[in-house]
Amino acid sequence: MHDRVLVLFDYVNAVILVYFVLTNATYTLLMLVSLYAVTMHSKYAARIGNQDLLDSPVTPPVALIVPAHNEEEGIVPTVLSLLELEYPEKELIVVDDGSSDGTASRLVERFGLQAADFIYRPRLKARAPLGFFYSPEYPQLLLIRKENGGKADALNVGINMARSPYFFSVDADSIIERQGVLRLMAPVLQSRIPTVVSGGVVRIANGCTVREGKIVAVDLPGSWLERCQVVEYIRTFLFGRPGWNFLHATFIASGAFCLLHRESVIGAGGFATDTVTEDIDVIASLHRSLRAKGEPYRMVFATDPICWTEAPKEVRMLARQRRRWQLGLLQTVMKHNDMIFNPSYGALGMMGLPFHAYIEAVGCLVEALGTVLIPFSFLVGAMPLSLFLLLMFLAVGYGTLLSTGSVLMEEATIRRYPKISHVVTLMGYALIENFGYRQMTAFFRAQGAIQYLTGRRRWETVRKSGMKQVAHA
Amino acid sequence: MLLEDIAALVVWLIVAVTAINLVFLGSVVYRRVVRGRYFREKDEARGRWQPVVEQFVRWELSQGEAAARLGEAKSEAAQDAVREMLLARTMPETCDRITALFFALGAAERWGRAAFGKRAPGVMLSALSLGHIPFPARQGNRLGDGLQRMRLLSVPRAVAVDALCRLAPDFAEVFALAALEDAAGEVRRVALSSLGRNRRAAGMGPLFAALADALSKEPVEERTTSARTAKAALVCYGLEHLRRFVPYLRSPDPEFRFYVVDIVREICARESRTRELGRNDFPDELYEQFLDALAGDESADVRARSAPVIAQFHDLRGAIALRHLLRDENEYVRLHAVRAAADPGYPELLPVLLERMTDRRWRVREAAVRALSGLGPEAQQMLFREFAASLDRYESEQITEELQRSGLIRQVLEGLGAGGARAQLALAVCRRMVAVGRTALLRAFLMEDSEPAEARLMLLEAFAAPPNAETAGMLEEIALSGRHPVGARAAELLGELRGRRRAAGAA
Repeated sequence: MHDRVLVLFDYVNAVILVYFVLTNATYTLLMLVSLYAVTMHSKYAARIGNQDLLDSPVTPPVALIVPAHNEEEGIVPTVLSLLELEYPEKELIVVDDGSSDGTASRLVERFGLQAADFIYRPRLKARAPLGFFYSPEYPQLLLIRKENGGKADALNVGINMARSPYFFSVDADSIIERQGVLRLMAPVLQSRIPTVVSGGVVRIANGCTVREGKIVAVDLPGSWLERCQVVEYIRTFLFGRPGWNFLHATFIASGAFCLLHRESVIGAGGFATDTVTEDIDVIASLHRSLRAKGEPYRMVFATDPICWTEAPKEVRMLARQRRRWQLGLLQTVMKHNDMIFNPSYGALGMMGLPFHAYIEAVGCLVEALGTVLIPFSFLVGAMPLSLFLLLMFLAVGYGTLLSTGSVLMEEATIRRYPKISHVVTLMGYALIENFGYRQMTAFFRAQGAIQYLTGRRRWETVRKSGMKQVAHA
Repeated sequence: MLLEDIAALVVWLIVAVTAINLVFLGSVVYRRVVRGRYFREKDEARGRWQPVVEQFVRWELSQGEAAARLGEAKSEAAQDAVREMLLARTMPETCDRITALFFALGAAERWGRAAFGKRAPGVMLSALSLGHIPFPARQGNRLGDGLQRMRLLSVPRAVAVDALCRLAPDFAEVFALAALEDAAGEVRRVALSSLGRNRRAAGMGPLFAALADALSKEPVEERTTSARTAKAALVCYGLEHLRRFVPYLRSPDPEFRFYVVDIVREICARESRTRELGRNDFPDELYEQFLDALAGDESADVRARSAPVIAQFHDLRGAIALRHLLRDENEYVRLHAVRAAADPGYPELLPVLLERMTDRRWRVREAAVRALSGLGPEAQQMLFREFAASLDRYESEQITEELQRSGLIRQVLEGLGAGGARAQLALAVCRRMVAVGRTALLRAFLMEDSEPAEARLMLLEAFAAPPNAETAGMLEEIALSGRHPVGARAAELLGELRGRRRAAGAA
């Protein structure tokens, strides 16, 4: 029996070893590719600029769709900041998705909105609106009230009411930099190939100071949990997404900050309500629909458009968020599993999707298992010290390289943190987050995977406490 | 033995990763320090050379003196600061002097080398002879072009071409034309934008060629330019250049024709923001081309985009062509024609706009309602009368939406208290809104105590006029609200309504 257990341990440890080698190799490749793509893009964007887009009549109108559910604290500053975005022509549609707080009333009061009867033409299936609120003084702003149906449902209602050829989904607790939308649109206009998705970078606003919906001072948050998330976001958005985009294998674009072509999304069936991460699902659906039609298309990811969002401050909320993301990722890869290793989907089918399915979606179980089993095997004498050290190096040590590399990339390109102490602190957390934080999130993700496997598929609400606001001077 | 090897490997890996991490950390700190120094130097350079730049642009310093003093800017930060200050002061009257100064400082030559490599001397010579000596053609090959397209190499070239294209238009034109031969899209894009910005006749041909390339039937991956980039550059041209557009308007390719017409439309739209255009603002060939050929083009897209241009002619032939387009068989042609006819210069088209309010396509209906609501009091009165008399549900819903979106509903509600014919028309409009069930704004008005009582009481009559379950429910709600004086009147009306129902039931 003892021997059999040892053999089993050997097999499991071999699987864990292969998993970590594959993961680290892929991430290293992505880091190298991203370093090149991001550096070149930022150099070009910094010198050439986008001012001509602001003045050009060729720049198409954009609809900003804000699905909001119980966002009474942040909705007014968000809308104010969106109204002030530098963009030639925009419409702003706030969809109050059955809020039980004062989300709608705050907007009605602040912008003098009045109930109005508008025509609703549903092109995408969604719960019908209960009412529209509008003011001729703010002709770009429209508030729609509807029964709670989830974010995807709210986005579909917004798309149905939008008129612009492109739309932009914005989370109600997000802050977009003034030229953010313009910068997202720049690659769309410059592309020779019709561009259906343009994604940007999401950064963590915890610690930053906000005034009337604008970030007025960038700083790092105080707690270790939030700082680890800052490093994690930098890593994800500076070398995960640009790397896959460079390889033409975009599978994820953050729903918090993403520009989409409206007709293409309608053609793909809109945002699906059968997954909890509708933003991932819509990208896969777009690939499927456009490939089926044989239409040339492109998805881009740019690193200069930036949106700031609030990250969970408590471990409990972080756990909920990660479980939901993992559940959604699994739902999406399983829904689109016919695309995995399907050459007709190009690099996405052969590289991007297999990586997201086997490494990101299922791999968290291996990672969580490894976190427990490797030290256990070593302690019970089932693993020699050298192998233990190798596995620990692959599981923990190599990650520091990827994290510090991403902080270096942030410093070389975006440079949003003004003080040298910020960057040195981030470097410190790039090392620290690999010892504890990463393992913790791996467990949360594994819980999400187990929820999927056991059929407990529900949306877990992440409560946020709001950003640090200062009154107008 | 294997285990010992693994142990050694791990040790080496840990050492390597630690070393790389330290290098990364060192790079971050180094970069921060270097950038801090760069910006400090730049600020100092601005403070030091700003007066020199000011004196130079005010003709208080000769070019030689300015070059001698600004030539002391040796570091990258100082040179960047000088470049930015000079470019910020570039205006039509200073452009030539500043360009000459950039040449004297050696900056133009530096950018030329970065942009054109081996071709730089030839291109610079061509620029200095203002294009009289042709620049050498680029010799490309598959491998070389592939390398040149890599962003690592193309971005510095694009940045250099951008700097060169900001020089005086005579020079910028030569540099831009030479840069159009570049293998990389980024570089060509900068050159195209420059040609548009400078609006010179010689730039038009290459821009139209770039547009044709972008719309070519080649596989999309093989096209070298984005149609939007070429279009955005061509849109920069003015009315005075339109004569040269005519041959392109006669292109046999409908998609190309559509783009050219759309570019003319954008140019007209921009110019008409500052003054009203008329037939005399357009060259005869273009005027005839639009009226004789494009208004009846086989392509619906071309016809559609011709309408806004024709609307700018503001003459009888333009009105006749627009009337024809307003009744076109294609929905999008009608839509664009309706938007184009939303012009106070075409009162004779008002009846046709009214006709379009019952169009079978909602976009056209919406545009027609929007057009009428924005055409001043007379058109608005026509709109109200049409609405009050309408039996078409779709038309009524469309008008209701526009009344709310445009704020015209406010005018209607104020009209309720005005008395006379205006009040009667306003009441008829409100009755129609109640009939189509679009009452949210009307109810809000009724419940608002600060609004005039007389107008609110009159509006209440609109709710009571068609007695149905829905309006009865509303009357009950208003009656129960207890608001003075509408609450009491609502209770009375409700009583009358119930009385009539009882009488009808008894009968």
